[in-house]
Amino acid sequence: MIELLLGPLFLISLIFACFLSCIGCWCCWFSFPCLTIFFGARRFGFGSSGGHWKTSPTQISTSHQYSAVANNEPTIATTTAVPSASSDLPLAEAYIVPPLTAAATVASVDHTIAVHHGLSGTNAFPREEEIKESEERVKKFSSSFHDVWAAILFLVNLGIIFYLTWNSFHHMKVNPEDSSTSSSFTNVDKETTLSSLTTSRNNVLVLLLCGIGFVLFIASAISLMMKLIIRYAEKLIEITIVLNIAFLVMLTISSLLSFNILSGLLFGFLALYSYWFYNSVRDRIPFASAILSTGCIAIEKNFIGILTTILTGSLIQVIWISFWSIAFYSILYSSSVSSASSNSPSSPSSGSSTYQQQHRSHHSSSSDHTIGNEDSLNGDDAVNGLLLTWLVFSFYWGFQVINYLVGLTCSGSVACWWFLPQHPAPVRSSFFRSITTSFGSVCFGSLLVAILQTLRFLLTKLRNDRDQRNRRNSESSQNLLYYCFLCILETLVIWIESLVVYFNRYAFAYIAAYGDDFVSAGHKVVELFDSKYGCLLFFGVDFR
Amino acid sequence: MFLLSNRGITTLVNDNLLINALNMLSVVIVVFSAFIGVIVTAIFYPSSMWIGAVIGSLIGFFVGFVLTTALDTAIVMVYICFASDPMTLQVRNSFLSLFVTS
Repeated sequence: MIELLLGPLFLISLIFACFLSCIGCWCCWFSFPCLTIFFGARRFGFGSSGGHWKTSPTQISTSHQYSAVANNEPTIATTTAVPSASSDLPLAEAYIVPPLTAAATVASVDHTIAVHHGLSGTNAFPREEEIKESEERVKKFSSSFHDVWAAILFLVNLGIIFYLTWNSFHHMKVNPEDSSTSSSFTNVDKETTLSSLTTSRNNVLVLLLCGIGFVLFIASAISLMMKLIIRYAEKLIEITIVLNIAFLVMLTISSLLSFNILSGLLFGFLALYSYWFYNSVRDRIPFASAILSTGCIAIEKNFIGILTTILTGSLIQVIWISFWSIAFYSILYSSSVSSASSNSPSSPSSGSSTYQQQHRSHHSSSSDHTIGNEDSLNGDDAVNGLLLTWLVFSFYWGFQVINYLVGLTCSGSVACWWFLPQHPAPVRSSFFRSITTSFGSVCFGSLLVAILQTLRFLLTKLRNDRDQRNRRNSESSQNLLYYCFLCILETLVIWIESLVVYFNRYAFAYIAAYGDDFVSAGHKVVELFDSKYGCLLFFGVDFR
Repeated sequence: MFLLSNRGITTLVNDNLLINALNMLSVVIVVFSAFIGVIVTAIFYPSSMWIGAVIGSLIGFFVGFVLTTALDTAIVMVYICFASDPMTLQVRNSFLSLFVTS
C-alpha cells in the first residue's frame, strides 16, 4: 500500500515542481498584460481612476514629500512633517536589533533613524553618540524578558508531562503483567520485524526523493502564488466577493426551487447583505490589496527563511501530537491500572484491557460493589477526569505555543523588513527573540487560548454525554433546560475564544515589532480598535 | 487620515476582505491540485485515480496552509506597521505609492 501511495506522490511532486519552476516566470510576466486587458484593469491607466482609497488633503500633502525608489532604497525628500504615531519607531528599531548583532547593524540602525528624523547622509550624528544611544536602547528593550512566569509555568508543565510519560513507561517495563500490550509487542516474531525493517530501508531513497520533490513543489507553488497575488491582489478580493454573492444566489434559487422557503429567504437575505457589503467596502479594496501585496513582498524578501520556519513548525507540531498521544495513552493507562489494582486486587486487569475498557468494567460492575467501593471508584473517575482535562489542556497549550512561535518569527521578520530593510539575518534574529525575550509572552497568550479551548472541550463533552442520556431516558423539562444552558455556554466560550484568537494576532504583531509584554501589547490592540467600534468589533469578529 | 481615524472599522473590513480572499485561494489551490493529481495518475496509474485526487488535494491543502499562515501573519504585521508609520508603506511598496499619491 505504501509503495502504491509513494509512486503517485513522487511523480506529482516532481512534475509540479518542474512545471511550476519552468512556467512560473512565464505565467507572471507574459500572461499579465493579457489578463489586465481582459479584466479591464484600471490600475495601470487602462480605465477610469476609480478604486483609489480615500485620502485626505493632509495625507496627500505629506505623502508627496516622500518618494518611492526602486530596490527598496528609501530616500527622503526634504520633509518636516513626520506622523505623530511614528514616535514608536525607535522602540521597534531598538527591539528588532538583537543584542548579539547590535554592533554589526549599528550603521543600518542609525541610517534608518536618520531617515526617520528627516536627515540624510552618514554624518547625521556623531559616531560615539550613535553607539551609546544604540547600546542604551538595546539594553533597555532587547535584554528584558517579559512574562517570565508564563514561560516557567509552561516549562514546568512540559517537564511534568515528560516525567510522567517516562515514569509510566518504566512502570510498564517493571510490571509485565500490567503491560500486556508491550509484552505482546515483544512477542511478535522478530525475524518478521527485521525483514520488514530491511525492506523499509530500500524505500529510504524513494522517501528522500519524495521529500525533496515535495519541498520543491511547496516552494515553487508558493513563490508562484506570491507573484500572482502581488499582481492581482485587487482582482482576487473582488472575485472572492463576487463568487460569494453568486454562491449565495445559487443557494437561494435551489432552496426556493425545492420549496424550502425559510432557507431560501435566509440565503436571499445573506446574498443581499453581501451585495450591500460589497458596495459599502468597494472603496476600501485597493487599500486591502495594497496591504496584501506588501505582505507578499515582505515574505518574498525572506522567502526561504519564512518557508523553513513554517515547515519546521509544522513538523514540530506533528512531533508534539505524536508525543502527546503516547503520553496520553501511557499516563491514563498506568493511572487506570494502578486504580484497578488498588480497588480490586482479587481481579487484576485482563491482558487486553485499555483505559476505556477499564472505565467500562468499572461502570458495569458498579452495581456489584459495596458503597465504599463505589465511593472509591467515583474518586478514581474524578482523578482520571482531572488527569484527562490536564492532558487536553497541555496539548492545546503546547500546540498553541508552537503555532504562535512560528507566527511571531514570521511577524518579526516582516517587521525587520519594514524598520530595518538592510538587516543581515531577519528570520534568524526574529526566531532568536521569539525563543528568548518574547517566549514568556508567547506562553501567556497561548495559555489564555488553551484555557478557553479546554473549557470548550469539556462543555462539548458534557453536552454530548447529556445528549446520549436524553436519548436513552425520557426528556424532562429540567434536562432540556440544562441542555440549553450548556449549548448557550458553549457558544459563549466559542465566541470568546474567537475574540481572544483575533486579538492575539494583533497582540503578537506588537510583541514582534516592539518587544512588549503581552498585557501592554493587548492595551495597544485595544487602542488600535478605538472604543467607537468596540461593540462592532465584538460582533464583527465572529462574522469575519 | 481617513483610514487611521477610522482604524477600528478599517481593520475589521480589511481582515474580512483579506481572510476571505486567502480562504478562497486555498480552496482553489486544493481543487487545482486534486485535478492535477487526477490527470497525473490517469496517465501513469489509470487504475487508481482516486489516490491521485486524494494526494493532490492533500498537497494542495498543505500549500494553502503554508501560504495562509505566512500571509496571515504578514498582513497583520504590515497593517500594524502601517498604523505606526504610514509613510514607510509608500517607501517599502512603490506599487502602493501610485494609489496614495494620485
